[in-house]
Amino acid sequence: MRPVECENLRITYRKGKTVAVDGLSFTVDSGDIYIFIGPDGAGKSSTFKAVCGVLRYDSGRLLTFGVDPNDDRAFEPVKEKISFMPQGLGQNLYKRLSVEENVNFFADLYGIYGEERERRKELLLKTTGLWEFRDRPAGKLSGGMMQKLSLCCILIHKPELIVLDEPTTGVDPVSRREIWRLLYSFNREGQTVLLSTSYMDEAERGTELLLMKSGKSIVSGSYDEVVSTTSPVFVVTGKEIYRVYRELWKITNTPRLKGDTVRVVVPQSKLSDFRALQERLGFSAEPVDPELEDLFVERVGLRRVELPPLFKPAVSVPEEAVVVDRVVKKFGSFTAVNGVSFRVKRGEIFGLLGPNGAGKTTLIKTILGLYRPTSGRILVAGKPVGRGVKKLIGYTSQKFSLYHDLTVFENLIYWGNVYGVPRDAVKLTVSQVAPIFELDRFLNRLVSELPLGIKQRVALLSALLHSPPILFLDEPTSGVDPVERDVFWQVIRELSKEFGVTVLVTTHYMDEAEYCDRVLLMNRGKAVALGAPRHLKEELRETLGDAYLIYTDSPFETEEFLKERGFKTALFGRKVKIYSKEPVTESLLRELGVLFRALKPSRITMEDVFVFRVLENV
Amino acid sequence: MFSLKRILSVVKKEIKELLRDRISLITVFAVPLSMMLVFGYGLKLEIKHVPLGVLDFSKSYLSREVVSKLTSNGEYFYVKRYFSSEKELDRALTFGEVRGALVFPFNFEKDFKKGHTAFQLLVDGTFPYRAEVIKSYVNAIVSLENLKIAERRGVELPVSIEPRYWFNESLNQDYVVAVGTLAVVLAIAPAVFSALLIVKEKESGSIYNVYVSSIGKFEYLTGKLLSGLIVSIFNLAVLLSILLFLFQVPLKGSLLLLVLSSLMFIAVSTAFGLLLSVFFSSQAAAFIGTVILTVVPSILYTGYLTPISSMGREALIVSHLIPTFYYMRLLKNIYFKAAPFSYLVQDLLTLLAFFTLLFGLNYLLFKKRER
Amino acid sequence: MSFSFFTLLYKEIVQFFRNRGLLLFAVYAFTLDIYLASTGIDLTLKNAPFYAEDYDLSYSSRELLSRFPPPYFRFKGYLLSDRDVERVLLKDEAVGVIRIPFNFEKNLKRGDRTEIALIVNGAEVSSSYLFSAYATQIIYNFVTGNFFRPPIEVVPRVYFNQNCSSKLFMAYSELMTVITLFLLLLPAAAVVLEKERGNIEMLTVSPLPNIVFMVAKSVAMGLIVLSFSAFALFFTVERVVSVPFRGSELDFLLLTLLYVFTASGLSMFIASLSENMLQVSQLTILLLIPILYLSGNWTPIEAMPKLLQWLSVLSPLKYYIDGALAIAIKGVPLKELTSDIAALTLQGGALFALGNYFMVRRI
Repeated sequence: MRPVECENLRITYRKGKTVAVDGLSFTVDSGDIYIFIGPDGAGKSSTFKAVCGVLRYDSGRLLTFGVDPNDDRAFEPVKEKISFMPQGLGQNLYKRLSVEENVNFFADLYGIYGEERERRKELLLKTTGLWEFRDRPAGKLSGGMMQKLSLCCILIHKPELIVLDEPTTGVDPVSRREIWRLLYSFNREGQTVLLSTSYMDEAERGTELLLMKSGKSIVSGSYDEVVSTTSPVFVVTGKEIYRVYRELWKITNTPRLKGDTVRVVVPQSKLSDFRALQERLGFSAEPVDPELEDLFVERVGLRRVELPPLFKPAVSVPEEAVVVDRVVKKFGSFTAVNGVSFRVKRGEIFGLLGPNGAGKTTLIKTILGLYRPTSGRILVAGKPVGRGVKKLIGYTSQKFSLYHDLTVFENLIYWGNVYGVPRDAVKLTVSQVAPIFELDRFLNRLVSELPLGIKQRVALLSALLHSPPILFLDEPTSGVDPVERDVFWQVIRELSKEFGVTVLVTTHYMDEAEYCDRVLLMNRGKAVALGAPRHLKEELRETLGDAYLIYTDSPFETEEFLKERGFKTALFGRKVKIYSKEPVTESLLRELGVLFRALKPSRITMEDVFVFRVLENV
Repeated sequence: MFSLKRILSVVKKEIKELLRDRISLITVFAVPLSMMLVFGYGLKLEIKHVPLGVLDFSKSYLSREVVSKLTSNGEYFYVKRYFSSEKELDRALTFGEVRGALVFPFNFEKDFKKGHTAFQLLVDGTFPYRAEVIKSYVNAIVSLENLKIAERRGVELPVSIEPRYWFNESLNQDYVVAVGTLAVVLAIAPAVFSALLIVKEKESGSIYNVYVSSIGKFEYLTGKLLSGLIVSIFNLAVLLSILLFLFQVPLKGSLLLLVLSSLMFIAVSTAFGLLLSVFFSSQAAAFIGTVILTVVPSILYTGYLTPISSMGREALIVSHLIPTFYYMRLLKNIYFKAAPFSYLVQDLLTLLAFFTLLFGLNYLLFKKRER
Repeated sequence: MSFSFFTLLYKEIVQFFRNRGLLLFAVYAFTLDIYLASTGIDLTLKNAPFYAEDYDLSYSSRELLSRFPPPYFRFKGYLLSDRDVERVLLKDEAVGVIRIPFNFEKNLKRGDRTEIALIVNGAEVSSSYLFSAYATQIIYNFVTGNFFRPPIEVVPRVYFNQNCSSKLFMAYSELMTVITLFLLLLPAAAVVLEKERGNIEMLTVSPLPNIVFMVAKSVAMGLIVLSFSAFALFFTVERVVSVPFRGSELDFLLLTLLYVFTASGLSMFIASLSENMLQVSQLTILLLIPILYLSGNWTPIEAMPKLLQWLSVLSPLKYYIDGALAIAIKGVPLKELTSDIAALTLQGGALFALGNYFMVRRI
């Protein structure tokens, strides 16, 4: 019996006024790792909830293990076979209970007792590295650890189908790998996985892929099938790259500025225009294999955002916009930030990276004056943080602190006011900016009804209303889809480059780290590396050597195999990345006995920097 | 059909969470305790130390005599102030300086000598019960005086009036209030605690675990019910001890029956709180709803401060819809009247019916779904 | 830098009205709840049912029973034995029984000793006592009437509330209790919700001083409660329960406004101590009970133990109730209530400032 069969599914909210899922069909086979991607609000969560019988669907045919989830009585026994993890960090955990007590409670819920429980609990907690923290209250875990614990909890009863709604959102690259390792190992034991993600590289790891948009399936199939439907993709390099980027927008809605290159998908019909532009501007365009992000971007479509000069700060700040000097923050005997120093220059985009629990959020909160530093000196705009400095700061916290029971417009008026912006000024700004941010339709909707991506836009806009010269953004793009993130980064880039706004940002998307002028990598409260992304990558290349990608059907086994043979490796989607100072050739791999489909030269990325710097430090 | 282990696991989780939340842990026990102490100790229906004003136009021996009779034992009345004009007295009554006043007319003593005289008693009617009691005290004391005067004049009254208070021979109103307070506290505290048990999981999102897992509605709700009960049983033990040992209210009936009916009532009030928790999606609403729906009805419609028998028809209908009404009757019947079991059965069965109804509603209304 | 206080208020008010459950209970509390409280019981003697165990069945005994008039008493019938007496008392069918002995009339005429027994249910409070006091008085008057005219007569006059109706008092006191409950709970609940969702942090980072935010919250909740109070006053109390209002409604509401500051200051204390709604709810009750008790609403302050009499100075509700009842029942103008106003202002100012200060300190 198939885990999920779904035909023409329709789900609506607000008595049919909002359509979340509109004629979706898909089938999950036993043993699949079935992955949903799509823009925020596409209907992924609603679909998952319907599959698990948490949400009633309106019409269509849906069978989970052959049973209709709308049928309360009949579906109840099926729940033994499935488990569901809702969106949100540690949402389903009991914060006052310890790690072990949480797992025990879930075991109780599913009636797993005795030796079996102990065995499974130990296995799960040890694989996730939570074993040594088993007595710690769940509320005191870092985000990544919470997600791992959630996973342990819902896996305790060996479900046949695991449904995960964005399990890795807000989780750092190292922890994400561990979570995936866990998923793979369960999948190998025959468990079926249905999950959604906003990380495109994760989406590669599935056996089946479905791109959803506006409640409908746009394309589905195996990864290769799906990606092969993409139009040709080019990496464009050349002088005046920003100008090239702008011109490319006139041809397609897919250009993405990545460092000093632009990646663009050019549909067949536009190829001639593209060639003409190339002629005119004289850039070089290298055709590359399409990746999932390219498909996503092509099917969903990017949006060009150009900000009106209204966000140009009226106040200028000193050359050293933010100074953090040997800052230490202790909570009792625990040192969250341990002697971190850096200076952010005016107009710079400064990235703060690090695994969950590294102390990034604590550091930001300390800079903002929410915590008093144990020692060290902090200057923002040349002064210690106080009333005078506060109006120069814009801040969005991890949770996007909007009021869910207010409308978008009410939120904007409120947050504007909190920063001393008069109502009329906010109105004027909103009337100009809402179309650019595509918020016009949502202005009178309650925030609670909005998808995450829209919330993120509202949160960003609310932090910008008073045109602050310095922005602090704590994981602003967590869980946000690639298109929305692109819009976000266009805004940030423009604020920084055009208006001289200083931006300090934390993120778990390593591709975003590349957009920063400089990044600081933190681990366990300490600064591990500081510099421009290019510089950090170069540094790593000198220690590790060049990178190659091995295309294989069994990435985890291959990686293990290579590791045992002394290679530095990493997983990248379904590919294995291998680093070596000696050239790696196909014949070398064959000699070693590696099963692979292809070998291609690759590049060191910020993710590599992150993973190796963090692991080295451990 | 259901697994005891699963039910217990919900209970265990709930109790552990409570044990880790220090403020809640303290207050969950402090709330019923303080209610019991404050109302059981402090709610006094006897009227004592009433401040009186005196406006004496007669300035006579007799008027002074009457005042001294009224205030002689010092327990009920004392003279707060002597007034010289009606205007002054009016002001004092208006601003609550005195609660009542004695006004002796100019001819007070002269009329007495002629055989019959009268004086005015002015009472502040803001608190009606107090006004009535003040009236009755003054009447009683004056009547006693009249008898003595009549005796002196050689007339003797052949009839004696003998009030007897059944069930509570000394008419110790404090006893009655203390026992009634137990019912009121047990109507409020368990309901308030259980009112948050489910809605808090809805707010935090952990309710999904229940939605998705195979734990049955019955198991989950029973688990929550039991966790509420455990907390309340502790409280019951404490409250009963206070009643028996601290207030020393003599128990005439069977302790076993008292405990049994109390347990039954705790279950009803816990199930009521749970129902609000199932119904609402915000903790604030569930809490305030529980307080409002329990406090007024259980204090005013159950015979706590006034006998059921003197209620109007409309109020009586409302009373019968409130479980506390039946428990209050059970309590008084067991505690003071040592009523035979046959008198109790009906009320016990009614409580059982209430519990079945409320828990049944919980079961019907709780959906293992978002909507 | 200027902040629009109006915008801050608007947000709080809108949020309150969007919480349907809360709104529902607020409406209930200020209407039906007050109605139930004011019409439900009467602590004075009203329609007290009684039986007679009359062994005489003479003209005099019937005459005596006819002296127990409605609306105070309600005669339910004759009982034939002591067993019946026990039954009606056990079943709460009567407040009391009057037992008239054999030969009552004969003895009375002859001047021989005779005894009337008054059997009262001691397991009930308030009206049990009044029943026995009234009945004694009535019997006494009846009997003495046969022999002499009482030399001293008391002419009672009840001020402000001539027929001693409990409705008046219950309606106003319940209104004030409900006001207190909402004032204690609403600001605290709203603050804790912002703590749980992390909004407090955002506000701390913003240039808006926390104290302004907290004050806005208290004021908004105060305004909400104030408007509900006005509604309850004009509609529930004056129209539905229809009890008279002697003074000026404006005065009543102005006094309520003063009280709003005091109570919401207390609410901020609750908020600063609590992390979740369970804590808020328990602390609210824990604070509500002594405030209600010490207000003298249920037990006259003069009848409390000495220690509690002193403590009652601390209950803000005491001054509010004193003042508000004076306005509502006695028709006293607000400007004459200087001591209550002074106490409320002093207490309100201090609690409001301290509560908000304490709250801000804890963030």
